[in-house]
Amino acid sequence: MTTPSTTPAVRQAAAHLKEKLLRLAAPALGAEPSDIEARNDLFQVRFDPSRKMSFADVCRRIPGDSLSAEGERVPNYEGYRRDQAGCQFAEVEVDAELGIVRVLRVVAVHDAGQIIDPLTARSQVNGGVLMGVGYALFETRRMDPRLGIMVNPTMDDYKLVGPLDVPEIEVRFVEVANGFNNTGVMGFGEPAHVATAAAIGCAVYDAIGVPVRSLPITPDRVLAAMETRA
Amino acid sequence: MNRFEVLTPADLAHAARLLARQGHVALAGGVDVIDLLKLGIIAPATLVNLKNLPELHGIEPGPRGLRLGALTKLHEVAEHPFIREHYTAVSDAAREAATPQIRNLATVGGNLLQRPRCWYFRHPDVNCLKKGGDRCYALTGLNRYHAILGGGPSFIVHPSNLAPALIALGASARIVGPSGERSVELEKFFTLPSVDPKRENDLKPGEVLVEVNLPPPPAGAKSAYLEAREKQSFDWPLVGAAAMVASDGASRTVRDARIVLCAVAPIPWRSPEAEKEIIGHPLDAERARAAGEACVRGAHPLADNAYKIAMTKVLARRTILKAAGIEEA
Repeated sequence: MTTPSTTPAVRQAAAHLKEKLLRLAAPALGAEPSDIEARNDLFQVRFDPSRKMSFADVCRRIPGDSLSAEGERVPNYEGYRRDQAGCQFAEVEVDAELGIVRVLRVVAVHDAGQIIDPLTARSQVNGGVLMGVGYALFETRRMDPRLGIMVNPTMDDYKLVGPLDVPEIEVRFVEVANGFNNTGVMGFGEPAHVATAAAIGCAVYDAIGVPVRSLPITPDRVLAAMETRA
Repeated sequence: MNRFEVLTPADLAHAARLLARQGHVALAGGVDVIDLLKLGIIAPATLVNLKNLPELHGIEPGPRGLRLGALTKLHEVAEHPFIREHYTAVSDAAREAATPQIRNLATVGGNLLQRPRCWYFRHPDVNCLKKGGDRCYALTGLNRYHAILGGGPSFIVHPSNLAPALIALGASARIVGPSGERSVELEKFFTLPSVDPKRENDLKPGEVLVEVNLPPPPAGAKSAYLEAREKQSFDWPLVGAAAMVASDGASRTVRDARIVLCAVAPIPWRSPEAEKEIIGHPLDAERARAAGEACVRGAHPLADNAYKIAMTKVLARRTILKAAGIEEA
């Protein structure tokens, strides 16, 4: 939620700052601020492009050392959907005699609105898929019911995904325009994680012909599920 | 973690004298000892650093077999060309252990002498039978990773995957102590909890495991090691199997065999029942399957670990066939 929480305020502050720059440029260009267009490095009068100033020249007119402006995140605009949409696919290989599942490939297709930084967005999906593989196959808190203690509280016993457990991950973004805030950015913290375990569970079902109804899908559960096959 | 001092002995005899004292614990790669210190399961006053003792170093292949110094790193065992060729099960087992970082630190001696991974034993708040308490909590508690064979009164499994492979190839351990040295078959070095639930082997106070010796493999012998884990990276085996199969080339008749299982019992578990199924017979998938069945004939699963029986059958069969170079249909 960091990007959709912060970017609308940042964008509004930037718009306010731009207005201040236009007001500084207006007397020198002999025009109203609303008649000036700022594009790339140039401030230009809309109806007379010969009247223009560089960005650097406008900045020289800033009184003091700097110009500042504030912005805030206003309530979301009504009438737009605000939920992400996406789908994930998993390809697994099951050793049918040992019950061991390996995730070979995960394809993650997501509409998270406008992607501001493709590298970190992709990384968010990679991380979500990795944790999702652990959620599907390994991770669980094991409590001794009589002693009331967690018996696997260490990094050795609590099983997190390791390098050899990582599938090939393919990430696709479908950026559907969305006007519910001024940047069109949506929260994207959980979708890749939540969908992964479900996709892996369905892929295991497809592979062995019976569903495994509990996570994590450990070898003992796969073997037990396969014994129920007719 | 408690305060402790580290002493580096001048020679092997000095090390043995130090280790005979109360509160002195040997330090090699440190992988398990440091974990046990941090968990508060041991609180030694002194760690005796063995790393400078020349007798504990080196891999020496020769006509009389192979000598592995106790300080040999698992990584070296995994990659050594002579071991890969003649003692394949041993290099395969070393390669399956832990992670590359740990294999670069962990030693053969430390691997054989490491304490069990049982989560009750390793829990700082649980005083179990192995730590001097009055019961094995695994018996009626959470026991998915515990013993199906040889258990009682403690139900740990021995964590070393190297030990079954070494035993399959007839290894012995040379041990030096305050009153001299002895050599013991590795198979007889490990002890069941029915003998003493507080230890897993026969190393006495003051004794140092100096080296492991492997005889030349029997004529026509090939070996293999396979294990099943939940995770493919950095996980302990649920079940492992080492097999040595010596057979006549054309007829495939097995003259000699050893099948040793990992992570199913409190000691590396040799299965003479399985060996009997294949020795004297031409080996095929059906024979290997019968050997797998024989491995678990005496198994007593606990509440959560019956799956290990199915796994053991499969891994024993696959490992025997892999050792013999037979592809399954």
